[in-house]
Amino acid sequence: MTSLLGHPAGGEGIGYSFSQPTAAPVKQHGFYPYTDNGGSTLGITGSDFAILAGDTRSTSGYNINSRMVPKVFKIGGDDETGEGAHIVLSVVGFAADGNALKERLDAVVKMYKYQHGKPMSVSACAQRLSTILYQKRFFPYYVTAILSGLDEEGKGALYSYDPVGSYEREQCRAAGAAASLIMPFLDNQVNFKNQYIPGSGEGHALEQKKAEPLPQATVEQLVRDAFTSAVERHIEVGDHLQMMIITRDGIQEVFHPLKKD
Amino acid sequence: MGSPFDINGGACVAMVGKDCVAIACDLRLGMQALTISNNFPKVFNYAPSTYLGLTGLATDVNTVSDLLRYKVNMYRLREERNIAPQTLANLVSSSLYEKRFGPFFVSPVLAGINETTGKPFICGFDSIGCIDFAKDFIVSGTASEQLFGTCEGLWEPDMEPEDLFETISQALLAAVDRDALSGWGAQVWIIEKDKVTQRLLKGRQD
Amino acid sequence: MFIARSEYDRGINTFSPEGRLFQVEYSLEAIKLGSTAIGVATSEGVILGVEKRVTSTLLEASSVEKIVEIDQHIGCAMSGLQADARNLVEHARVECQNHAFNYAEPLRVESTTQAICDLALRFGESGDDEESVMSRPFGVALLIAGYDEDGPQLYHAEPSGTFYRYDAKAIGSGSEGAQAELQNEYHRSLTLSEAETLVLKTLKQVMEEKLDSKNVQLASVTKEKGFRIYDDEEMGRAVAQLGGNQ
Repeated sequence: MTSLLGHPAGGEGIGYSFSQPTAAPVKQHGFYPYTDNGGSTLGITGSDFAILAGDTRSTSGYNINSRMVPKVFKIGGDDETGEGAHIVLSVVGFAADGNALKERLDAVVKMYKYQHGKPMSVSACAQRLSTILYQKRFFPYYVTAILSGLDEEGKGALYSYDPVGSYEREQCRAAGAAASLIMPFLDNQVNFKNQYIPGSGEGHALEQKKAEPLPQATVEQLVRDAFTSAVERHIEVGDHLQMMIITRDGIQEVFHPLKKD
Repeated sequence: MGSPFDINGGACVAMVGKDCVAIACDLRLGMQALTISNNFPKVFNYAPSTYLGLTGLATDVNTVSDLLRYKVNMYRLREERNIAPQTLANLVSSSLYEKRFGPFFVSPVLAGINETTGKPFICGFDSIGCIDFAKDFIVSGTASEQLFGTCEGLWEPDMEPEDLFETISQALLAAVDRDALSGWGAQVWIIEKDKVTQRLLKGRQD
Repeated sequence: MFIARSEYDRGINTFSPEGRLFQVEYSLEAIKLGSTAIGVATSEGVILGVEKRVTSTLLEASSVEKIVEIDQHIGCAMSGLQADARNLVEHARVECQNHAFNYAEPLRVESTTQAICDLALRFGESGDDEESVMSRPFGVALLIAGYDEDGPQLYHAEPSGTFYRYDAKAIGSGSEGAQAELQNEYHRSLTLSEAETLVLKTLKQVMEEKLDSKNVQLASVTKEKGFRIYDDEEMGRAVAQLGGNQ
């Protein structure tokens, strides 16, 4: 571009006493392909059911992108609505990666049914999800995933993952922004950690209260309590609570309002 | 190195009940991941029914608690009466703000019953003395996020002293078990009008 | 590369005017030259048996491997070009291990068979972006025996890429006579040891040499033990039992 003032753009034309930068400083370009979209997910299993839930808020920093972006998905259904599915996946962290992961696992589960003539078991799906995540060990899907369904015996099954595929079957798990708020609450209320049977002994002889599967209504209430608590104290959690209830009869999806502030 | 608030670890929580308050702390003292002691209480008594919990940098916990001991003793000698929780709150606040540009790395939690009104009082502070008046509970320390979750889930209004003890104990134990930097036992104080009960909780030793 | 074709059996993937692929049909002929292999499925498990054709007294009989393991729960017997079979078996083994790695469960017997047949059709001139594995069809047929959640199963896979499930099947040079014998003798309530005897008895009828424990090989697939090739002691016992029954 020619100079508008009619003299050379460089400093040599005018007698400045201080040094003029002769060239633009070397620019450092950064590429940050990840964003944290906030939100939280939570899964609890019972003897013949499993519940996977998540809030529907999507954030970037202090902005709210949307109040209705679900984090819990049916996997391997017969159509777009997920009808006929028996596995549920929740993803929290970077929403774009979460979506990509969901689409990929969904395709894998559907192909499995065509290739092997049987629906994929939750345990097989759990192992497959682990390998999918590990395949991107050096450019990971930036998500914390939870996979849920019913196992071969009809019991509630829940598998939790780290972003590179390390996984474990558990009774309950919270993930995402408010995981640190919800998880200790679950330890106490689902697995009865630090709870003892009154009068069962003195000191070390005191007996731990045994964790046993909770009834569905209790679990539903725990999930709602956990989220209303998280919403109260975490700014990235709120708007709506999405719940997938997996039973032998299928998957029931329900939404409850949460605070929008 | 991380924040000075996270070097030594520790957790503290205060709760309001019906005509009673409770305050509890863990007992760990560490240096990063290494545990140095499992007998480091973080709650200090400044009047018959007024207690102050301090989490953060251990050296500042000691210094601030001693400094307040000095000031509260001077208050009692000059005024010839116990310091009220509200008064202690303002003393803590102004003492911390004095060090506005070179703060003590502590997050105090105060719990007590006002002897004249008989009303429970709790509050928390940031490290430069801003007071957080809460009606329900105050948390602080490296397990504060966990404590927010457990307290928000377990606390209900107007609990009797026994229920308040169970609630604050379960909230603290559950929270510190999910924090690597706090735990190793806990102490709980239940403060009623004219009666204070102190209990030691064993908790997980790992 | 251009070759003038006047005969339809030159082009690997060229149909004749009658709608036939001659090279594929010829490959089926190659199998008829192979040694006889038999499989019998029962409710307890599957028995595979092959004739070993020990052509020389100097030949080390144990080096003739016509029954091989694909996975813990699947094995196969072959008839035809053994070298071709090794390609197919290697492919099947990789598919089984891949599946176990990805899904933490064994690959089903039907899926294994399908995987083998997928490879069987990858012959002919290679296209622009795909490389073909073989220049001609495989010259081997397999009897695939396995156990999965649907119970014990026996499959027959051909070079044409088609496969069928059988209760009992014979392949190779003596297959016609053997299949007729199986047709007569097979019934659904066979026990595993009866199946063992049936396989040996049928092999004995169609073999040119006199059957002994050195020139036949048996293997079994059961729920409890998975796929197992019989060792010398078990072969001796099985052959002795055959003698006792007759």
